[in-house]
Amino acid sequence: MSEVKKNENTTAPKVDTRKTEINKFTLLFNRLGIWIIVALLIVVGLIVSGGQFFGKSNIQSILEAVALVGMVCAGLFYVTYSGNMTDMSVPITMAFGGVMAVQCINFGFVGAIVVGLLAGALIGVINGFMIGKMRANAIIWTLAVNLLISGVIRVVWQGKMLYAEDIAREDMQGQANLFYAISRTYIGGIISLMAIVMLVMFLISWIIHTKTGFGQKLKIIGTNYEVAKFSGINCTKQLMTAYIINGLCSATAGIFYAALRKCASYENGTGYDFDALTAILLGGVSLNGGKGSIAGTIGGVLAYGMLNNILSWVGLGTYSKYLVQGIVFLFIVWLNTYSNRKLGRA
Amino acid sequence: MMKKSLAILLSGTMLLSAAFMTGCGGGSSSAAGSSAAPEASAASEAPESSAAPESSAASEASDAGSTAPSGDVTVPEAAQASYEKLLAAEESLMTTDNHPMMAEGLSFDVPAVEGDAAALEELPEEDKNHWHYKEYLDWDQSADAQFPESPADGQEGKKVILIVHGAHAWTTCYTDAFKSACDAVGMTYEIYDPNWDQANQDSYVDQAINDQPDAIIVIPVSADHATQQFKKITDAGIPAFCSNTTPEADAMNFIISYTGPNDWYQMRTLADMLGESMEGKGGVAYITHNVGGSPYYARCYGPLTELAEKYPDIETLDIQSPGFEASEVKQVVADWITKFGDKLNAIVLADDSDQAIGAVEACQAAGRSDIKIVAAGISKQGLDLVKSGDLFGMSYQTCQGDAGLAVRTVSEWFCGIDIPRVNYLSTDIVTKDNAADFEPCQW
Amino acid sequence: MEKKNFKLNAAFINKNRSYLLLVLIMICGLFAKNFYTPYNIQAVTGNGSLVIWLGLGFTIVLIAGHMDMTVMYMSTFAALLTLGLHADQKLPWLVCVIIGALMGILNGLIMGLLVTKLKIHAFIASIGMQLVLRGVMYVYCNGKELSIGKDYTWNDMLNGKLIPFLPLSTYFLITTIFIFGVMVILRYTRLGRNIHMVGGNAETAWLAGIKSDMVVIAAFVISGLAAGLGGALNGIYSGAANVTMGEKGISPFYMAFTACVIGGTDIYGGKGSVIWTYVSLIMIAFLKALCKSTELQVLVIGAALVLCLVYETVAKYNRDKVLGRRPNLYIEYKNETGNAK
Repeated sequence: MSEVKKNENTTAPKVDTRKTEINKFTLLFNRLGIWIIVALLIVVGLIVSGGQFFGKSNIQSILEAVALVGMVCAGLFYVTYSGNMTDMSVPITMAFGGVMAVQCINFGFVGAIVVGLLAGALIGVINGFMIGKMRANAIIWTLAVNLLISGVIRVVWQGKMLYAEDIAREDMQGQANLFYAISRTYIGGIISLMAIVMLVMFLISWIIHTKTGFGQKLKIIGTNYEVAKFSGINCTKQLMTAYIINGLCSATAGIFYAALRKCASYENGTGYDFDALTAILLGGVSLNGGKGSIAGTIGGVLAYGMLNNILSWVGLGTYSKYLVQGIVFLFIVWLNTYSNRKLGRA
Repeated sequence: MMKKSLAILLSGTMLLSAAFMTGCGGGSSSAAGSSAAPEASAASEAPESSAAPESSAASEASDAGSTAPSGDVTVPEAAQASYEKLLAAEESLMTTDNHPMMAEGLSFDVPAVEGDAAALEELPEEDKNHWHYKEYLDWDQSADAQFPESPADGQEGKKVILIVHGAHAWTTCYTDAFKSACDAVGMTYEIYDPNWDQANQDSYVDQAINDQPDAIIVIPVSADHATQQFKKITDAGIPAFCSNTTPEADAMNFIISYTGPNDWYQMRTLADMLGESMEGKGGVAYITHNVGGSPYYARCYGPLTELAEKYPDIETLDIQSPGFEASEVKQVVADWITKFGDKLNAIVLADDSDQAIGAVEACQAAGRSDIKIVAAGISKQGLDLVKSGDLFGMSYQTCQGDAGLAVRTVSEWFCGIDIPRVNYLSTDIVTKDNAADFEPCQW
Repeated sequence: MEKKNFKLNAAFINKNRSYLLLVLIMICGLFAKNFYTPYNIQAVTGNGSLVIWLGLGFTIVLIAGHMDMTVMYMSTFAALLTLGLHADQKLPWLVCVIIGALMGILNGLIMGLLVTKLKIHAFIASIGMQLVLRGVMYVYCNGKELSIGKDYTWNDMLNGKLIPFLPLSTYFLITTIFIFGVMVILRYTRLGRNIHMVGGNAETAWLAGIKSDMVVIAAFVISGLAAGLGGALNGIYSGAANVTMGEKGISPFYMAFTACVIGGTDIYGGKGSVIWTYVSLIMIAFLKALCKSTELQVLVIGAALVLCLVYETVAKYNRDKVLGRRPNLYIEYKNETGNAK
């Protein structure tokens, strides 16, 4: 925040006949961003649901619905934040993580999870090298990676679905069941493990973002790559780290997804790229990089889940939901862009 | 610098061309390979089969047109050897859950309706007749295209091309059964998989026609595109067969025979069972198949109309199409439970694997074990849920039997036998009591 | 310069890679069974036409410096509208196709306004429009599939041959004519040059007095027109349309996008040609006919895309390394590689 303000002072024009006072609403929206929308949605939800919105089962349902998207967002945030728009290889990272974890279930439960995460990190390294070191276009390159790895998975596993209990040896069946159980565990019978993992990942992500040098450097890289480069930041290293974090987060979501679905295949995770990006953009993270916060991202994820929840309370069908979601999304993004432009922070 | 770039480009081209070569090698040699392998297996299985075509050709020349009786069906003499092989395969082939794989198809009566399709569309959705043309393949037989004549010399050595709808555990099971059935009756085969893509399936149909096989079997991705696809095949003079998913009724003008499950009938039986156990009152919510396909109508409006007719007190709460993701379905069901509360007594699902997992889990998380869930299909995940009592019941659609019936019908056509235009699979309902009969699961 | 001293170097290969790949595929086709039959050529080019329309739209918007991910949905919507109007309102085919194309133009206009007037990033705007269009399509047709019914006149016409001895369907010929029309617009008119200029450097273009907003909107409108007209014709050509078209399997949008990159259109805008995309898409259509299993198709297309990208990125990386630091090295580098990108 402080850097942005400094920036504002120095770029003020010398003779300015235009209006100088800032619209209160724009400032408020810029500060609080998505949380205003979240509050609004809560009010609407309370009206629509007749007070049951804060019921135990509804909260549970919202949290579970956003858990997987939230996990992806916790990592994808850094990619968007570093000015690389988005990672289109999220679906295949999820699928690859799930497939590798299920395939390696014979290494034991922990081994399978580790292999799954490593698979995600591998894709992160590939992306990080090409985008961080060689400066390939982020969207195009990750789309290409998506296509290539999807082709590899399809050819190697012949488009089949993998079931952990079929792959596991006799003595490993218990591990397979343990693997399935991770998406079905409820801590204290109330909140699901998936939601807990999502919140923990956001917490870690928040600490990395605000408390470490990595987060600060990434902000400069996202704001202006050239400036970051000439001020002595090792951009390659930072971007590589960002992509590896993203790969790990996506792979975590992929593993949970495979466990939830009880099978792994190349099509796991289809559509999560746009879902996660939608949530991130709702949260006020700028697609140009260098602007946004984890708190906003959480808000975006929650708003995304709550909007869906409210629309089913209203009783809209799946496809009419798309229409409303699209319009709401465009409106919020426009508000974000508008308030940023009014404050000269575009 | 230039050398480096050139080297990269060159190696790239080499890699690409290698891939292409394997591609076209795979294309041409897979035909050769797949035709060679079954021939070899056929030869090792039945030595007389390799000699059969020549001898049959000779006998056909000597006394053309004469037929020899065999059992209760008459088969041209040229096809005699083949037909016996088909009968032997029918005896020997079993599905993994120990049902005969190539059992004879069933047929159902088509009730008469008044008015044309447009008039029926005006009826309310709860009325059975609204869906008449979706449910029954009730087509205008007078508009039938000119079908190719059966060669009537047996199925042995004939080449068929199967175009499935897309990669899925069900499809793998189907194609494996199709291969073993084809091997058993002595047909060669090629299988194309368009991966659920309509445009891709169209181009595969064109390629199949280009290869000029003896017959083409298609599992259409979408019911309405099917008309165009089958029209193309029939116009090219190749016999067209449709398997598994029902096409639009008009498409039957271009299809020699349809084989597959009777989804509507099964879902109605299931709905009957559900209505009875609910004692005729309560609320039902539906999760549909992919919007627009034939299972979408059958698995949602089949039970809906049945319940509306027999149990008018049962209320339809909601219809949603969240697709096949367990997490999405879970969310929809959880929303329902909060929204409808005790009014929600039963859920009808279009799929017993991913959708069932999502729905069951949402109910468990909310502690609502009283909600009765029924689903269509027979997968491993579904059967496990039935055994554990989480699923109240599901329909039994034998996947391997489906493939077996398709091969049987095609073979019979090659043998010159008159075949019914519509062949349905035998039907069953799986509940906790009879779940053991259907183990181990096919897929 | 290229004509004067022709050199078979990396730059030449890179520049003409779409043509060379097409030749490569055609040579591979010699070894495949039943590849060069008239039926196959007619079917392959006809089935590949929808993707050409989409690729055309995507390329133009890319040249103008934006990214339009909605082309697939626009074309599906136009197809649904065309078939629906013919079935319900009994309008003649021509009117239906025109209305479908107009709907495409309207969608393009909305996209253009969102991007230029509301200043929403094109990528974000197209994500939002994707959701909106999906909803609208569903509301329009209620999830049903729409088909041409029993009226095969236009279907037969599009599937049939226009020129008796040429094994190309009418649909493909219409596509080709449209492509060349757009090429002429892009290359020889003021609008076309403006699109290139705005894409290359929006600020310079603005300083040069180009109404960049209008140019960008025009690019989106042409893209919408291509998607709408192509979708409407494709609906009739393939006989039916449904909401979920292209959502399963390899989306046609992916193909269009891949072709743009393989063809050599610059991701950052300002450089590109619809002809490159066109040739690449024909190449992909034949490639799909060549490797019959879908798995292999995805792998080969993915590998081709990745190779092109790696080559381009490495070339750019090497150029950036010498650019600005040692001028003499850069000149040397340029001389060595010919006109390096």
